[in-house]
Amino acid sequence: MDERKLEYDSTLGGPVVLGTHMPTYKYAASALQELKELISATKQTTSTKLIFQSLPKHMRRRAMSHHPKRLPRKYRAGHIHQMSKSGKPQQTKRPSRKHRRRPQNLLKEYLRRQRKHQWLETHIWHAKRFHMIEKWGYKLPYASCDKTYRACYRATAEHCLLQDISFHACIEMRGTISRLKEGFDRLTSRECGLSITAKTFVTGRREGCIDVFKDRQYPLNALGKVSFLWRCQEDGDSNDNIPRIVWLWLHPSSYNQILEELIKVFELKSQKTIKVPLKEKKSLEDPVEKQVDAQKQTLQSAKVQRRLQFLTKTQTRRKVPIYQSDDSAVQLKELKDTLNRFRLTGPLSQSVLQRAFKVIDIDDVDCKQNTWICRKIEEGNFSKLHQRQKDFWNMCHKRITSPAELLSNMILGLNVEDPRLNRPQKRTKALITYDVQAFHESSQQLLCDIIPELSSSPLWSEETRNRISDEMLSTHDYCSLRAKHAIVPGKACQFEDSMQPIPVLLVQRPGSQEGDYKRLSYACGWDIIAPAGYGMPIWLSLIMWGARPGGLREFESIARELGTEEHLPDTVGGLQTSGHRYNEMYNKYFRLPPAKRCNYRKFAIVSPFRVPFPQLLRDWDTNGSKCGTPTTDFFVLRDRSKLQELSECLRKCNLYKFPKDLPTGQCLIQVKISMTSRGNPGDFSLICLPNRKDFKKKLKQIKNHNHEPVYVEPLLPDIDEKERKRLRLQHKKQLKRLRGQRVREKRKKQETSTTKVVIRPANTTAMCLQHMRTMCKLWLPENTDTLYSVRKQGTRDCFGYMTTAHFCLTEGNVGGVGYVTVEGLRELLKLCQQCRLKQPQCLIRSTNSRNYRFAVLKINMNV
Amino acid sequence: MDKKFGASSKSFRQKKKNPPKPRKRQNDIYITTKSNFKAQQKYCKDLLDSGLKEVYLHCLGNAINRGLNLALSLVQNSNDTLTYAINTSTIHLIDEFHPLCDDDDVSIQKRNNSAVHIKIARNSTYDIGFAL
Repeated sequence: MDERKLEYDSTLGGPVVLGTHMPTYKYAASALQELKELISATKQTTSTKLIFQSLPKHMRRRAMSHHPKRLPRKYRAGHIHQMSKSGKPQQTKRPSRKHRRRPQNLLKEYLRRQRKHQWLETHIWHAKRFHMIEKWGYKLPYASCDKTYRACYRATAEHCLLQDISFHACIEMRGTISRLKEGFDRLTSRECGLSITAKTFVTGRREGCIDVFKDRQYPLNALGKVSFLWRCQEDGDSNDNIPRIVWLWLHPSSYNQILEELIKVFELKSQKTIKVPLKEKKSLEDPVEKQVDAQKQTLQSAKVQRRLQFLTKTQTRRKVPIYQSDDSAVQLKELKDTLNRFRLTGPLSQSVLQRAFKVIDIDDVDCKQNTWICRKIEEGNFSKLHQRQKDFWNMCHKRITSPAELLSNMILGLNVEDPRLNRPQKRTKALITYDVQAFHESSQQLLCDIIPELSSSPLWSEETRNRISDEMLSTHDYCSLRAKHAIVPGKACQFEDSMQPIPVLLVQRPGSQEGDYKRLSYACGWDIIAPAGYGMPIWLSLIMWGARPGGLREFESIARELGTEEHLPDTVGGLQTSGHRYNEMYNKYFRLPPAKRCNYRKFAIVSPFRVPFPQLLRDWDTNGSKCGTPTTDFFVLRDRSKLQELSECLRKCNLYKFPKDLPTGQCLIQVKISMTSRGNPGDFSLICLPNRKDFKKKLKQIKNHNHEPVYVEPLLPDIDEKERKRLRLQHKKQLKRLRGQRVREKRKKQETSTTKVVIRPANTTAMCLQHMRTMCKLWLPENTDTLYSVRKQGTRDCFGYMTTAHFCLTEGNVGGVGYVTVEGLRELLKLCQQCRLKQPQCLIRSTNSRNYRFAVLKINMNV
Repeated sequence: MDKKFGASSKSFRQKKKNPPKPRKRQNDIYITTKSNFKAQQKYCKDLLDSGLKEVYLHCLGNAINRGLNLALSLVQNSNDTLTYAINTSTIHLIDEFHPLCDDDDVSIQKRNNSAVHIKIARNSTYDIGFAL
C-alpha cells in the first residue's frame, strides 16, 4: 500500500494510469455517495452536548438555554424540542397589551374567565370599581373600592341606591291554580302568612313572598324565601281552570334545593330525557268495533308524537331547561340568567325612574320598522293597556314624592324607550319635581285606581323576550350610527325613533311598614325586571341619573337597619354563610401570634366564632330528655299569630298571653336588640338573663350618671395554659433533637465521602400538623357536649345569641338581630314582671370582653 | 274599594304609609317626636344663624305639640329678633289593610290628620344691613 501510495502516478512509475477524460455520471454517482455519508455522519452526532452548548464560543450568549431567541434561528426549533424533552416548562412571554386588548382576544379571555364563575351583565363595569367576590357560582360586587358605607346608607334613607340583583334566579311555573296550590301547600305553611294562591296575589296586582320548607316538614328544614308574581289575565277571564303562569324569584343560595323540591313535589320530569314512543299502545276496549277509528287515531297520534319529538330535539337556543309533569298539567321553566333585575332603594328612586324611563307613545311607533311592538299593537288589548299604564305613570310623576306612597308591592308593566336615549349629558341627581297644585287634590285616586291589568307586560312571553334580545341595537352600532347621523351633538337623531322599545316590569317595595319597629317606609323602592341584553344600558342611565351603586355589603346593612336578617340561621343560605364565616374566623384566629390572641377561656366564652344553636336549645329544653345529645334540628319561629302574641307580651311586659305550645327544644325567636347606653358588642355576643341585683345596680348607676358596665364576669383561670406551654416546649425540643440527629448523620457521611453531602430533609410536617391541632384544641376546646355547657358558660345564664350587631344609623345607637329561646324569654319576662319594669331588658356580653350591659328587646313580626 | 275597618279587626293588619312631604327645601323642617328636642332647637337656630330669612316647621298630629313648643322657645330665646306665623291644614293619609287570610284583598282607608305649619322669620326691623 505504502509503495503504491508513494508512486502513484504512472509517469513516475506507479501502477495507476490516469485517464485522459472522466465520465461525468461516474463522478456524480461517487459524489452522491460521499454526500450521503457526510449527511448521515452529521445527523448522528456522537457528542452528548445540547445544541446551544455545541455552538462555537464566539456565538454563545448569556442565558441561552432559557431564551431560544438568543440562538441562531436555524437551531431554535431543535433547541425547543430538546428543552421540552427535558421537562422544563417553556416560558412563554405574556402577549403584548395591544394584542390582548384586541376585541377578539379580549372576548376570548372574558369567556375563559367566565367558565368557572358566571358574570352578570354589568360585571365589567363593577369589576373596575368594586371588590369582586365569588359567591353562589357568580362573580359579584361586594363593596365599592371607595369608602361608601355611610354614603350608601344615606342613599337608602334619602336618595337612591342601585344594586344589581340579576343573580337572583327566576323560575316560571304554569298550571291551574288548584294544582299549584296543592303542591305549594306541601312546601309552605298557612301559619307563615299568606299562601302563594292568596287572592290579593293571584290577580297579579302585587308581588308576594313565601317561606319554602322541605316537603311537609314545616317548621323544620326551611329552605329559603321566595318572592313570586302572577301573570295577570289580560282578557279579564277569571276561570280557575285556565292554566296560569307564576314567576318565582329565588336566592341563588337555595336555588338548587328549592328546584329539587319543586320537581319532587309536582312530579316533574326534565324534557330532555323524555323519549317519545313512536307507536302507541293499542286500545284494548272494543277492539273489533272501533278498529278503524283506533287505527285512524293511532296514525294521527303518531304524527303528533313525531312532531313532538322533532320539537323536543331542537332545544330553544337559550337552552331554557323545561320540566313537565306526566299529564303536562304543570310545567316548570328555569329562566335563570335570562332576565335582569335591578333594585332601587330610597325615596328618590321614584324620580330616577321617572327620568330614566320614558314611556313610549304608541301613535309615534313606526310600523315599517317591524319591531316586536308592531305585532303587539295589532292585538286588540295591547294599546288600551299600554295607555292605562302610561297614564298611571304620568300621574305618579306629578303626585308622588316617594315610592312608599303607592300600593305596597304593586307591579307595574311599562313599555319604555331605549334607556340610552334618556340620559343627561353629565351625571346629575334626579330630584323630585312635585306639583304643589296636585298635592291639594287627594292622591288617593292613585292608590284606589290600581287595576290588575297594570302589571301586564310583553315581557312574560318568551318569544318576545328572545326577539327583543336578538334585535337589540348594540351600543357599538348605536354609537357609530350617531356618529354618522347626529348633526348637533347631544340632540336626538332621526334613527332613534325607530329603535325598539323595551318592556320592563316594576315591582314596588314598601320598606318598613311598622312605625314602632323601624322608621316608616325606610328602604322603600322599586325593583326593575328587564329583558336580557339590556342590563348595561339601563344600569348606565340609572347611574347617570344619580343613583348610587351598591354591592352585596349593602344587602347586609339594609337588612340590619331594617331589623331583620337576609338569611335566617335555619335556612340553607344561613347555614352556608355561618359555616363559611366560622372557617374564616377560626383560621384567622390561629394565624395570629399567641400573644395577640384573645383567650376566650378566661372570658368564659364557649364558642366565639359561631352560634351553637342546637346546644343552646338542648340546655333550655324543659320537657325533652336530658341525656345531653342535642337535637340537630332547630327552627326560627315564623308563625304570625304566635309572634303577635309574643310581641304583645314584650310590649306589656307580662306573661298573660305567652303562647304555651311552642316546642322549647327546637324553637328560636328572632328579636331586635338595641343597647340602652354604651357598648358595641360584635357578632356572636351572648344574650343573658339579668338578676334583681343588676336591675337595682342599674337604677343606682343612672342616678349617678355612671356608665360603667352593670356586671363584670370574674376572670376564669385557663387550666390548659400550663399544658400548652409544656407541649410547646416539648415540641420545640423534639424538633431540635431531630435536627441534631440529621446533622450528626450528615457529618458522619461527609467523613467517608469525597463529594459534598447534603443534609436529609426534615419530614416533620405531619408531626407539626398534629402538634398544631392539639394546640388548637387546647386554645379553643369548644366542648359543648355536656348539659348546660352553653347556658351556664358565664355567671349569668345565656339564653340567646346575637348574630349581627353593628352601629345602627337609623336609630343612632348600637343594635342588631339576635335569637333567643322560648324558655329563656319566658323567664326574662317573669323576672321583669316581678321587678315591675316597663320594658323587658336583657344583658349583652360580647365575646371579647367580660362586661355585661343592658339592652332592650323587640320582636320582629315579619320574619 | 275603600272600606273602613277598625284597627282591632282580626282579619286585617293595618299598615300605615308615610305622609307626603311636598316641599323639601333647605328650610323645610318636618318635626318628629322621636328626635331630641334640644337637637331640633339647635338645628333651627343654626339654620337661621346661617343667613336664612325664614324657617318652616311642619308638624303633623302628635308632633304639633312639639312643634309649637319648639317655635315658642325659638322666638323667646331670640331677643325679639324672630317672629312667627302659623297656618293649619288637613293632611290626607292613606292606610292599607293587609289581609290575614287568603280570600281577602288589600283594602284602603282614608284618614285625615291635622297639621300645623309654622313660619319663623327674622324681624324685618332688625334685618337692616343683613345681606344675603
